[in-house]
Amino acid sequence: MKTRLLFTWLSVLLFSVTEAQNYDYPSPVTTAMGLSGASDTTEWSLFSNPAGLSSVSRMSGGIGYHNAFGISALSARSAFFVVPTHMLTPALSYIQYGDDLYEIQTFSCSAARSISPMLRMGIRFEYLLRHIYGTKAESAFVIDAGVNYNASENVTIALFAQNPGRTAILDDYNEYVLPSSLAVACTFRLSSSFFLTADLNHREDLARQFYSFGLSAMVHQKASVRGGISARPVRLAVGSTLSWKRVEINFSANYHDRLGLSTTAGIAYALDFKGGGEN
Amino acid sequence: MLLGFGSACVAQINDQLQDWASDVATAYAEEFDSEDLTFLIEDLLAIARNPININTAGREELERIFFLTDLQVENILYKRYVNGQFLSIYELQAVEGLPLETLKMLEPLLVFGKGDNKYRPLRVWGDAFFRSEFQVERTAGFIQNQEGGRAYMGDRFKVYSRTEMNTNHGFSGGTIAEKDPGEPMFSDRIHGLDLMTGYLHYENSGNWLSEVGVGQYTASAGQGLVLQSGMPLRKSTMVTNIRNRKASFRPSLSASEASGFRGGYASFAFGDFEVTPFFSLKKRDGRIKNDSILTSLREDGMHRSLTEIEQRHNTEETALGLKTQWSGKWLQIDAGHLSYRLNRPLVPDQKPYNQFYFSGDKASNSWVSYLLSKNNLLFFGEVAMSGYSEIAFSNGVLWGAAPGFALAMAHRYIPKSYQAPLAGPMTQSSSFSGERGWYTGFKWELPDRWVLSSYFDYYRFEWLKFRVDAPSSGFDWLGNLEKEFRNEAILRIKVRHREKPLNHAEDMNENKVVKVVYDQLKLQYRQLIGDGWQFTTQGQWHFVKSDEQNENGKMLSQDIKWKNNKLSITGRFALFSASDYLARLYAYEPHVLYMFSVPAYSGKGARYLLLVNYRLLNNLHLWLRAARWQYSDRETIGSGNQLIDADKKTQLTFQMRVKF
Repeated sequence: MKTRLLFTWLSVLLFSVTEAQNYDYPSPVTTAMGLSGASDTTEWSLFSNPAGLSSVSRMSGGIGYHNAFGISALSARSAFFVVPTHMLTPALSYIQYGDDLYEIQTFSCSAARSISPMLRMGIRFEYLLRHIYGTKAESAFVIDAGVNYNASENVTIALFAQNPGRTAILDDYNEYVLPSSLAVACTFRLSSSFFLTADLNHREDLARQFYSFGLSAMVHQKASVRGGISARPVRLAVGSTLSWKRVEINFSANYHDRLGLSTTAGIAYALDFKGGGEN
Repeated sequence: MLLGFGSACVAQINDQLQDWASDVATAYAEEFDSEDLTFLIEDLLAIARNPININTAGREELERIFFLTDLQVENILYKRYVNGQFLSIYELQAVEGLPLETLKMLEPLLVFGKGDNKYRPLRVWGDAFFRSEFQVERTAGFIQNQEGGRAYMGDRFKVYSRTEMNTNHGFSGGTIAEKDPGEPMFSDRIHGLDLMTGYLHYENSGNWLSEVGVGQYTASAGQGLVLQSGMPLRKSTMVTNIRNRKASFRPSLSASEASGFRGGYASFAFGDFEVTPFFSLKKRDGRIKNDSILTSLREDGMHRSLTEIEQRHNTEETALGLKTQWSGKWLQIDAGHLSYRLNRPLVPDQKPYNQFYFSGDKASNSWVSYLLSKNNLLFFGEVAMSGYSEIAFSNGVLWGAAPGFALAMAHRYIPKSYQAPLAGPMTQSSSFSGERGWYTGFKWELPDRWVLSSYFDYYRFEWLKFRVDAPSSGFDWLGNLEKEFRNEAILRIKVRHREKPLNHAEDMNENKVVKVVYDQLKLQYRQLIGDGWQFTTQGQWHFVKSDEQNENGKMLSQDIKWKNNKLSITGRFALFSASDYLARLYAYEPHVLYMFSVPAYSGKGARYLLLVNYRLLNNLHLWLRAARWQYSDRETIGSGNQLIDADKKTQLTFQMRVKF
């Protein structure tokens, strides 16, 4: 049964193609490493590869803000809530992207589960609502999915398909294609406090690949630092996580060769309830 | 494990160093187009003659061994601090991150005694080199013109002589004399040889006068933002070697006439403080327009034709400064000031790109630099000022992030109006003003004797550059994978990808700036067979792509080496083809002891090389080298006075070394 399920899952993941415009809130954990998000295993993975949610062990909620290249019209605000259980790790999230003239709101429901000690998978259902000033609102339904596979004690491979159904927003005049991509990431855990990630993200809509390489190090019990490089285009990334009691603050900065600096921040609060996962 | 170690024979070190340094030398050659790279190992030569006592050496002394990484130096010092003195090379095996190959190279450079030599009877030792080079094919500069004269005033030989001596009481000294082909000697134009210099040096680490040097020397401070009188640090496959470790004063016998100082320095030690005043007065070659205006300073050191001889030593360059240093247990800080003068103002021809280059007859620079070592982290950096207004930064960190994994990161920012004529920081462009950049590199020791190293360097220029008519950016990525097999074989795979800005069309009022993409691949396989044979096969490919052109270069070479106790013979045969100079290839070549040759393979043809080394007596070694370029795509080689009316170019080198 598990084998069939996995096969079906991988088939879904491999059907990914289109063209597009970003509308999402990127995980502050993986943008700090310049990555696509495929390898994320924190609660912020519900904005990227939902399979990472199965590693979350405590009920938690949070809010985030992303600003692209200092332009408020390209900024995004987010909120989420994760409730891990022994059966499943479900999560809800909301993203508001853009400004009064152009806005996309995304409501999503994600779920993740470990199907074996080595394999985890997750799926996200998104409902997008687009408002353009002076026109009627349009909507779309998108499904994202991903898996995480522990190849060995220290090596994890992750696969993430964003919008494999190639969904687009249709209005009276145009078809606005939403981003569609397939990302593969490999994480090497060199010590208990240090790991490296190599990431390849194929964006079919842009007809190109993005290569990324990032690292994360726990420099103190309460602090981690991250950094990364991605090409092409060249992007340099840096970020940190600060934990204090139940509060965790993430910050990342991502520098684009031509367009400048983007920043992402997120704050998460963990509740007492513990229902599964590893983190 | 170490049973295979031979005696401390300097020639053996050279065999290993030639191999080790080949990538570093190639990195320099690609940038400077120079075949004389002896500066790379000058310090190592001095150490080979006068080995370092591993039980008393400080960080600065160990850092002189260029193939030791900063983290390896830290690990050696830490092991000594924890376990006490090392009794033999065998004990160094316990130091983390010190592989067997490194230990083999270290052995002749270290001594393991406790004590101080200065109370023993005076002992003097040293060596002398004599080298001569001759090019068989005559260049145009040596051929009589219609007026019956020749462009080059001297003969066709290159002559090089170098003698150095050491004592066990801290005194050392050396001389060097050199002339290039075409330069006259013992004539009314050049008295003696073109380059004749030397040094006297005294060192006593326990004394208030810890060091004195008179004559030729090199000086460096911090990360080279103010002072780097030798060659600057460059990116190479030693990806974590990004900190300037030459931050001190050393006597020098470099034959490079443009670099280095001529004067003196003295270091006074007061506990943890050290103060070093220094001075240099040097004659430089300058291009002078309208009999008085100095437009540029020459770097090549050639004085063959009448014009070159007229430009010889026509400008005086003075440097005066003070360096102070405080060394604590895990923190070292140094600060200093440098005053630079020319006896006539430098007025370069005005071009948009050189608007912020150094001009005038004086410059003042100050710097503060630091080195902080804690656990497996090493922070370093420098803040420097130009004219008390422009501030430049260079900061970095080296981190032993996990067992077998070392990480290096560095940031640099140099404002476009920053002027420091004696600076040499690690930057993308040799005219570094207006550059900012971020460097990241790592070395990862994987299972089964695989080693992966890589760097990524991103840079931006906030002003125009030569042949780049707009502010621009680019990056340089290198990946290097090495595998050591159990049967004495090594496989190396090197990939480099660069994107550099360049004008689309030149000499127009407005040029479009495009990115030129350079992709390089190098494969090398080396196999040792028995005690005497070594086979090295190498293939290289270079692809250059831009909007308007696609060029490619490739080469294949085979080296065979055979040696016994007295004799070694090395041969190379290479075939190469490069569609344009832009797609040229650089390959390291065997040369006589302490010479590093990395010529550019451009055009189409073959390369032949034969090197013989014979130990005539225990203290007398001879080398003979013959190397030939054979081109199939041209009937003449070179241009101007260097034109050869033939499709081949043959170089003969003879070297003799006497140890005393």
